[in-house]
Amino acid sequence: MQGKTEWLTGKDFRRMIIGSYQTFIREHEAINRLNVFPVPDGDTGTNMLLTLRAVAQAVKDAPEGGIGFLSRRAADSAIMGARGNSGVILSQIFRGIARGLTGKEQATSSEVSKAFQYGVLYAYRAVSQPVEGTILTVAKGIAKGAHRAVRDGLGFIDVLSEAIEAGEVELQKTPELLPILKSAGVVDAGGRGLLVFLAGCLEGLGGDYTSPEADFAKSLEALPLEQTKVDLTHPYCTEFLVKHCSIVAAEVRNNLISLGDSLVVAEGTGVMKVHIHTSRPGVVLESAMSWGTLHDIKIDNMADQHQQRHDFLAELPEHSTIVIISVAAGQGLADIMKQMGAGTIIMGGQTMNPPVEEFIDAVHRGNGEKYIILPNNKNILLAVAQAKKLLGDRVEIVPTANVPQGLAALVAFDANLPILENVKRMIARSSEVKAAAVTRAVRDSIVEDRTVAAGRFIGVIDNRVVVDADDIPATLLAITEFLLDTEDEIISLYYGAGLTEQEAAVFADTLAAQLSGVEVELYPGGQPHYYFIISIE
Amino acid sequence: MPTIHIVVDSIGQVPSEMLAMHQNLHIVSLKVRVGDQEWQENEISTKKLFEICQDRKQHPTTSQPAPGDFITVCKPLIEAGKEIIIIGVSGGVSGTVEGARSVAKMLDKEHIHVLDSGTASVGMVAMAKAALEMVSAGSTAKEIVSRIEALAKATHTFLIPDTLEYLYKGGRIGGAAALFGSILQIRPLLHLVEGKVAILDKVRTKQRAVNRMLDELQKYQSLEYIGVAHIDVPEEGAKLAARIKEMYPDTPIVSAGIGAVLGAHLGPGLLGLVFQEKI
Repeated sequence: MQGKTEWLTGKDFRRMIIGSYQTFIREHEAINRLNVFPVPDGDTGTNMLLTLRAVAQAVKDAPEGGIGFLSRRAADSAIMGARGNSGVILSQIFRGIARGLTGKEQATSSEVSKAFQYGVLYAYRAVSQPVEGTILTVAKGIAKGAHRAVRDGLGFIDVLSEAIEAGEVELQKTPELLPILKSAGVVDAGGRGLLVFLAGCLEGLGGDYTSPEADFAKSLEALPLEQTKVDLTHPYCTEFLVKHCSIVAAEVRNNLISLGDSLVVAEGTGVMKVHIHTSRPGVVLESAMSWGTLHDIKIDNMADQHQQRHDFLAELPEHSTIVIISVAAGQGLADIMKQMGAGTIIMGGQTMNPPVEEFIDAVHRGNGEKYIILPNNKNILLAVAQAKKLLGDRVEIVPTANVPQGLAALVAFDANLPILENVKRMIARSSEVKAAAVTRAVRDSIVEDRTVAAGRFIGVIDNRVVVDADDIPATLLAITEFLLDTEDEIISLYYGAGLTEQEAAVFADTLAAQLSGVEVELYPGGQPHYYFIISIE
Repeated sequence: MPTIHIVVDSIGQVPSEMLAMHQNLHIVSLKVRVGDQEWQENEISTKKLFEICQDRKQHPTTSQPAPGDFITVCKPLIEAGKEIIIIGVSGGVSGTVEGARSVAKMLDKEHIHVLDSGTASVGMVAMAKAALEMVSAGSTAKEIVSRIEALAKATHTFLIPDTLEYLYKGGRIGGAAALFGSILQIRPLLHLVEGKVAILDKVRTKQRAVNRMLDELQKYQSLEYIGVAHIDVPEEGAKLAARIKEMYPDTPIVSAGIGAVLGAHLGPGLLGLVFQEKI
């Protein structure tokens, strides 16, 4: 099919459907990665692929027939084979198209464009509360683009290209319409899928087409942030039209293929449209000038787009307006607290109490509306209380006296609740946990009428020496047994900087072997002074 | 043959004897998929599903019924002049109800009524039972619809997944929420709020989560039934049921079935409750 397609036949329709299915096989994984809406499954691409597979199979197996007959086949099979929300909507679009093409042996661009408008109508009707920023918005954009192109008297391939372009414009707007997309840094997956579908139709129809919408860079652009760390070896997205082109599309491809990737060569009505990602746009244009006259030249540095995306995402406000500031005495504890939702960690502990300024700084630097501070040590309570005096209502304190209490408080936090409600919950929950630590006596001391010599291992609760022993395992067992009740289920050990992971694991295993009915879990704490911080729940 | 037919999706896990007893009760199945292989919900057990996933190192995905699946059931009924009430799994977690509504529009929206159960499992079965009883008693579709809407409002759903991995990978819970649980054995207590999964509380250890769930249950005193669900942990399920029996000696305690599709989103080791206040 070259140039103008005045009449679209059943055969053309069949090629379009098969082409779209093949394109979808390539693209569906990329679409899966976009999925966050409406009931996110991470499989919009797969669902649309399976829906299209049913359609492609039915159309392939159908006897020869007119476009009306085949589009009806397509619609029926889509309705039976639809998977997921996006598949259901796609099936409705097929239904509309079939309705628009009813009884036709062949159809003009204008008729197909109108049929697609039926499709959009059916899709909107299928959804009880249509939401903009989804596949529906993109479908509407496609229909409008097609309508304009038909009005301008273009051939079918150009109508389809224009329609895709118009849909692409709408797709890029979807994050503005739907905050959930914006916060995930993606465009709508269903909308992308619909464009891939049309691009595949174009490919099937034109033979030589690969779709701009299905290409690497465009999919990439829409991926989540972690996935955008690619090296752009061909950073210049270069597009232009060649008029009065002296060579055919296949030759253009051969000439340019070595100069970059994502090459798309589309033969339109009397023009050749070229799209390529290259590191040498000058060379590309220079070659192209020998084939005809160049128009609508556009060169973008895709690295800029990347940067903008990063900047944009970096500026997104935190979801939570309550930020937790938690004091940690070691890197391991800091990491655990962060994973559990602490927004800011201040390093400090038993012998390195952070000054009041650090808390004030953290609040001033932060972007939260309100703050909850977890001191996680008795010695830090005073500094924190001082900070609250200076900062007022923006700051609340959950007076956690040790690390286990701090962690319990973090578990209880719920970003959706008001701050005072949270404080109440966190205080209640932190009081349920029992905490102890194992360390070494730095000087002789008297414990309940007997002397504990310097250098002895001691078990401490609330800064009070409760047990002492010759080695770490004995101390660990003694202090644990001292605290353990029958209803306790889980003992968490956070080992300090004074132990290697292997040593700590051996001690933990020994403890577990000596106790029954409780689980012993070991985590790296990295705190100084204490071999183990122990929590019992 | 009654003039009103009831259609329930497979998430309800309608018992086969109930299906056999009612000619006017129909099931439309959701689908579960691992890689290239797909099953109707009742073609595969949760246990088998998780085995396959583990073998293939693939995560299961699910899909609402195709519009055609509803059409296959509903079209002959509509053509025979029947009225249909479709009871679907909570619209907050599945597109099933939405899909059923689009089919109602395609076929006959006057005579197909689509109801969002706001719950799953035995909660849907209870609604279907109530509907069937009302059909036998000669109630109109309109009366049945309003009754079931009231039941949906009075039904509560609580869940304790062993891990949030399945809900997270299936997209039924946000990323931030799923972070918890991966560390320090934190167990979330979840409930359905307006049909959507929400975190009610987070505690360490499953036992505490169960205690917390029973605290929530005790806020309701007058209950029609209490459904106890588990996924492949029958002993834990039985233990939970026994505790509830002690707390509510006069309330029917029923087993709440969970099929492969729901299972794919909750993961093995789940404990849950579905119960309905008396109205």
